Amino acid sequence: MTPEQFALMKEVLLAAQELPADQQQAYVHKACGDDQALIKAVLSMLQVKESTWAQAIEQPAIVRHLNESKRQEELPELAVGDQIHTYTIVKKIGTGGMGHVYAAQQQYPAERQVALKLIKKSPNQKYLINEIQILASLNHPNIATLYEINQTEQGQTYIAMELVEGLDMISWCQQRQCSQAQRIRLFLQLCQGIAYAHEKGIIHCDIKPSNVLVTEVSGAPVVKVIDFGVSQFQDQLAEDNSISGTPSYMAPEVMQSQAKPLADTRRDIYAMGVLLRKFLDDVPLNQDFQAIIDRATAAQPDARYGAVLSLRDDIHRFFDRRPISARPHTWTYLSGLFIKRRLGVVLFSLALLATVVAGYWAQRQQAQLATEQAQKAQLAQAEAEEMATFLTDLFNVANPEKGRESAVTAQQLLHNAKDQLLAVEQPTLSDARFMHTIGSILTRMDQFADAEALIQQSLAVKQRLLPANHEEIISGLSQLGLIHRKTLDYVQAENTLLATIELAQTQEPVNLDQLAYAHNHLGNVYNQTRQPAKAIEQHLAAIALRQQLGDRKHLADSYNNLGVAYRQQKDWSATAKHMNQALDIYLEVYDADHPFIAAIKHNLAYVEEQGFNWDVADQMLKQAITTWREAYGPIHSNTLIGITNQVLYFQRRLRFAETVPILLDVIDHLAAEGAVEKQADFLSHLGRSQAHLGQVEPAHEAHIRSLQLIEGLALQDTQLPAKLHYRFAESLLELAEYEAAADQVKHSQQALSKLPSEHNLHLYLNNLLAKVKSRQGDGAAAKALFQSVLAHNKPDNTRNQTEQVTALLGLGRVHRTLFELEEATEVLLRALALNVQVNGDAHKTNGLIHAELGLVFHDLEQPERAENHLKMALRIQQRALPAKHPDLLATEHSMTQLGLAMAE
Amino acid sequence: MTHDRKQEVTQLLNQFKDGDSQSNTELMALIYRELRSFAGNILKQENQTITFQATELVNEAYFRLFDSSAADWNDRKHFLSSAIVVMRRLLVDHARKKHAQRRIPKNQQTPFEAVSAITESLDLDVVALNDALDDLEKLDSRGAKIVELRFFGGLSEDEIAQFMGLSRSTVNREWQACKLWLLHQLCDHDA
Repeated sequence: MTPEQFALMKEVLLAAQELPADQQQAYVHKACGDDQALIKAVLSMLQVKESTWAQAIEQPAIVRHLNESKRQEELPELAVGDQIHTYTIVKKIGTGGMGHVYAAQQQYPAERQVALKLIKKSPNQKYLINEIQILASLNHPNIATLYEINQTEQGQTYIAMELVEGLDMISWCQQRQCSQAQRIRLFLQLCQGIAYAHEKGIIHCDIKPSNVLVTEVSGAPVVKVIDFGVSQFQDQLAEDNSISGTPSYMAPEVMQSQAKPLADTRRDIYAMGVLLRKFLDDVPLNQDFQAIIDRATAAQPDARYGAVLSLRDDIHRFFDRRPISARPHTWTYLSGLFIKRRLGVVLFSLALLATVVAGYWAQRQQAQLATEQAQKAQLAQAEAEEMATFLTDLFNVANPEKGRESAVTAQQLLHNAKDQLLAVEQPTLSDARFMHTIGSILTRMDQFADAEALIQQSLAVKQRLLPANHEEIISGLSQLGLIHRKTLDYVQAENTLLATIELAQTQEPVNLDQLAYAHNHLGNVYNQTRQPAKAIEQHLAAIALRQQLGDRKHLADSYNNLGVAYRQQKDWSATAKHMNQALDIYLEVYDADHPFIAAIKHNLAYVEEQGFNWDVADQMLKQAITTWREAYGPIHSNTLIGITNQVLYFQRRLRFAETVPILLDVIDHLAAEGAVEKQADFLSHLGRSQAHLGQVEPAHEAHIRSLQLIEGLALQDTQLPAKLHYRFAESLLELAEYEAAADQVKHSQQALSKLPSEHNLHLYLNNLLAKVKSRQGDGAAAKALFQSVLAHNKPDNTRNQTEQVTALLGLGRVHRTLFELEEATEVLLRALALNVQVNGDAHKTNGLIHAELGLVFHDLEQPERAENHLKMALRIQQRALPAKHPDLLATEHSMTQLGLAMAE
Repeated sequence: MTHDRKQEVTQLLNQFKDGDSQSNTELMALIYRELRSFAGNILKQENQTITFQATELVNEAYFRLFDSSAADWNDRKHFLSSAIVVMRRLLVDHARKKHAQRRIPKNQQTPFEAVSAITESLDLDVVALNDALDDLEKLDSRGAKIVELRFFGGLSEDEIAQFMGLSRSTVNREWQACKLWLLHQLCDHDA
């Protein structure tokens, strides 16, 4: 620009300013002629006039400077070691607008490090402190928890928050040179956190890089949003109309507003859009992604996403190569995505399924009508087959967002397809192939009866028309094996899969993929029937084949299944190793909230529990269930397995009260779906929790109802009645109703009369009955029962060995109460050695055995040995058991009785 | 304010008029010290209307440093110019320092905002504005001077009009136009 041009611009600008707003544009265009750059500059200067900056520049810089300095001076300052209520200052970690921020150590109610913010004094803070307490209710893994807002006697307000050690999101990614996909995964975590808070009606109001930190939890990056709602708090404290926030992340309506703007979710969405753009600054964006960002940062709030979840969904859609809502749909756009999607992540598409099913029937009729068109039809059939493979793939991964809504209709459609297929007279090979496809899909949807009928029929046709070891027959047999396993028919499953493997090995050349598939399924059968040694053999075979094939996804499945087998052998390090191998691969190939990743987390949770990492186990289970529930629905078999394990985990940690709402909710869902068997199963878990909570009547009701529900029904899980009875017995034992407990054990035994007497379940029941007898004071009966368990010793079966430990411990107790102290010592030392061998040094049962040994040595008047054992017991139990666990309390009680000091 | 200091200022101004450029530097240093201590005093006082005091800051400094009875109009004008240049430098240096503190060093763990939210919020970037003002100087030196006197010097439009020998309405028009141009430059920088 030259001084002359500047002078001209000034003239136009000043003249335009005088005009009413609606005439300005026309004037500028006229005055500037065809100088487009000048027009653009003047128009944007006229806009600047409305900005807050235009107000700010009116105030001399010195005034602002002095105001600021004065404000800074007022911020209260603390020294290391200073005490504020229960917090001791450790160090200063920063200075914010409201005041200084410190790392502080809290002793009570929990020993933890917190971030402590001191807030400058303000007349209306007392009122606001009450208001802001609601922030403390935010409990989400992606939000730094607010512990407390309070005031000292001197009127100093402070906020205590979770201390997050980490980098801001942008620096974190720059440091690690994260890919676009990794960045977006992190951003999706941010979406989760913000969406959660919005759901609770809490707006952040100051989302920017320095408020979005990334920290590592168990090696995985976790986003933590800090200072939630604090900026709103700060605005309300300010006496003037000033608002806090960072200009470039601030929505236009907030910038322009004269009064204090209302907090609105779209304000956060705008900031998230800006953040996303900045976050992906150094990666080229495609059109779709640009559209997502543009919509999030639209100048008009109404043009933005209405909710964070819609933003998140669009990002998911982008990832899944589905149409995003930010772009209008056109046919070419949709079909373009369709092709891409096939290559990448596959997802459920009802419309497509309908097209294929309809097309297949049309094509079939056509083939029947005109034989001369047979060749053409065959070509069409090849296409249909390809589609079938595609469709099966689609069902492998349920659409996490939309799958459930459309699943009902899809189910209906598939059901109709099944009826039509089974009604076909003299089915052809292509009919058989379609039966197989629909059968496989139905298996994925837990519709086992329909699936089995189709697969059986398909196999019958293929066995007639194809060579015996044809790969289609082998894949049909594998599928059948899977269905048997899913319907708990393990004997059939094992036989079918063994035959499949044998047959597959006669192929020339061998189809390695199919062979691996069969080994994997057989391994899973052994996993479920608790034969880990056999399971390991099968999974290793599958792994070797899949490594050879370079089939990463399925290799990961096999690693996970191998981990499950090692878990049954209680080899925790092998379990963790293989599951993490699986997790690493899954994280490469799937989104972070993919159901398969949830499966691994679910499995690792148990391993973490064995390592006493309660919080980690807790989180992993929760995440897995949430993902599954979203992906599969509330009563899918995976979701139910997750919930069962969570309930059992909570029960082991004495968190009975927490299980009740979870169980009531799932029971409701099951009742609504008429899933009687599962409903009964969960009712008995509910009864157990209620018994432990001392709710005698409800506990009885739940157990009785569970038994009534399945009365006279043909059950898929044939062991269910036995389980319901013995869970009732356990509750009754807890409630000290010994006669009734013994009754229930006997019912359970009757229900299992078909199983051999050395079966683990019978050993379990004998141990349970022995415990009841011993509580009743019938030492002789208890002794006999424990000894009957010891008579069935199977050293290579871990479950059996656990029962042996229980029997030895129980027997030791009975001996002690009968003053047979030498026998007691001998039996208990055997129990200890065996349990160390099976479960390791730190296992909670060792604590019980040591405590028992302590009492025996006390009776034997060997005080030193008594003391050693009791202290050992205490040490083990303090680690492995929750505080106030009855076993721990018993040990403490014994120590007090013996006059021993609790602390070392 | 001691009589000695006032004499010192008068002397420095005279030396400057005689062509001694060193004297101008010394004068600036003197003004700088005075402004700093004066600003410090304001901050220590409770419940003072800072706005009022700040607009008077330069005039205050003038009266405190300068023996007005002994000087002619040109001396006064020169003094004011110097004082405002000093003030501008002072404010820009301060803003720069603040910027430097805020910048989060890469590859370093920075828990929490190391940044002041209030002071950062909606704040004009004084450093960027200073740079833009240098650019304006090349296009429109009169406009740039008006902005400097008003924004960095804290003078009122009447004072500026008197100081520059212009009408008040001219000062206002120049200010309106240049202000928008400068802010527009800042927006461009931001994007």
